[in-house]
Amino acid sequence: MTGAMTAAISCPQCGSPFSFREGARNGLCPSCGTSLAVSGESGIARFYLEERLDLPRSRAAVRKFLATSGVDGKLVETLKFEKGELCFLPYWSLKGLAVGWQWTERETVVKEEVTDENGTTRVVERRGPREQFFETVASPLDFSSPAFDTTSFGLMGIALAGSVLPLRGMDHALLTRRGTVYDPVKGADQVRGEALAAARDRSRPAGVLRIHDSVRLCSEKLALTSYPVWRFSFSAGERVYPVVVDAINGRILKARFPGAMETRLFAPMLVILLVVFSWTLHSALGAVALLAFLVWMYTSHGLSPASLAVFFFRLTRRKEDVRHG
Amino acid sequence: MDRIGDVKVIPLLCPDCGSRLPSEEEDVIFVCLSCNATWELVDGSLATRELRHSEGSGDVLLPFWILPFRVTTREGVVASRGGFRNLTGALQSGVGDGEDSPPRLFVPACTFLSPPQLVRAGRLITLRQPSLSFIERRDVRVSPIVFREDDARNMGEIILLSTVTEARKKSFTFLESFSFHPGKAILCTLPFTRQGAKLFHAAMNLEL
Repeated sequence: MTGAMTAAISCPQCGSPFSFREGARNGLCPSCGTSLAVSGESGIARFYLEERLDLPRSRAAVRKFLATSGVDGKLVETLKFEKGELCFLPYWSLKGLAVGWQWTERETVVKEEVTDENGTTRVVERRGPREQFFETVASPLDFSSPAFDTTSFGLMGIALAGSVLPLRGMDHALLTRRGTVYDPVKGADQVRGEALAAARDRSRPAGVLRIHDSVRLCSEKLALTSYPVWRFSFSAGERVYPVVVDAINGRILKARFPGAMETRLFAPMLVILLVVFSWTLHSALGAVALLAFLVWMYTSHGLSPASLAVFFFRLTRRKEDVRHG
Repeated sequence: MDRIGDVKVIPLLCPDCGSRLPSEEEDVIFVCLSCNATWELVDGSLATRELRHSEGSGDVLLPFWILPFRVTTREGVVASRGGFRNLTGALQSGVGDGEDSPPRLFVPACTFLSPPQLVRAGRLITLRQPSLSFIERRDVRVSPIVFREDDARNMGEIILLSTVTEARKKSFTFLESFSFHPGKAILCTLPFTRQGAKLFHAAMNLEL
């Protein structure tokens, strides 16, 4: 979640809407000129991104996606959509400075000139003594991480579109009327730990044998942003298929949809031909071929009238469901 | 995890005189230009914070956190300037300050420089251990204060280690035993003179 997001909220002094840059602590009301500090509980500002796609447009995005994914066109036309749910999924955003130090012990390489018995000189590399280094870590930090188990939604990161959209100050009551607002599962301390681990990894040089470090967070600006997605399902035949759509850009985040139809003529035709042909050669051979088929059928599909009917008369079938995301 | 509430918008008005507190995007401490009171935003409300101004000439007032400190290493406890001198090997003592007085760490409270340069600025002033006398200043504009006391404590360790000799810093056993204990911080401004793109402090002969 990088880039210049701006947050839109209203001034408590004059009621005028004002916007400020995400990651900033303060803003200035353009109407009354009052300096305003933006904060939240425990110093964590909470925002949300407004959805840009309503439910009908999200469904249209699903139809378009299915049409381009090889799903039968007739099936796409006859899809029946169930009721949809707008979900707001929380993401942490942390900006600040990572400061500290790291002590490392590294391998060194020594180059030596070696002359062989023919008088040819060449340079060889050999392992040198271990060296110790002390380095200062002081770098800006810009980190974002899902605050919710988003794997069930297929959402791995906030889309780039999010970085150019205005953030809005969180209004929990308003959002819960419009959809389901997911609370963060991951705590602020865990995000801080992840951000510092990322900063450590970035500053870690190659060839390190031992490391001892201490990196801390300064000037922390922590925000929690709720990202909108549509979750709904559609039915095709007797089956129900779930789908999750990014409510900002209409991307299909996670879906299961019917596989393409396939025609299967080869297996039943082959069985009939083999049995008939064997019978024309000799009735005993025909009986053996029929028995062999019945044994195979019994072990693989069963010998019920229904399974025999499916094998011989249901010549088209749908491939396995396709999963996306 | 507990539910985190909605966003709060707090008007930055001086609780003493009601004037608008000037602020920039990153500020955490605000100085009222009308009554000179200093305020820090703590848990959604403005709490008073003491800001001192050190004597000297210069039109750019850079805020610094001054932290008295104690250090424990494998060589023992360092709690005086004499001990700190031995640790750094390059300490300049301020006039009038004894060897037994507690060492002080100077941590920038503003971001006038890049992060590595902030560490360098803190290191250079800490090594000088300037003797400060505080004066009353009115109608002053202090450079934006963006680091809180907790930030200064977090940044303090690396500034302190940057003053220590290279041989000690490269020693694993020294670092393993190193423990930094900062005391209560004081927020103060140091006056600098602008010279082109640089800032100069005449008394310390220091250029940032």
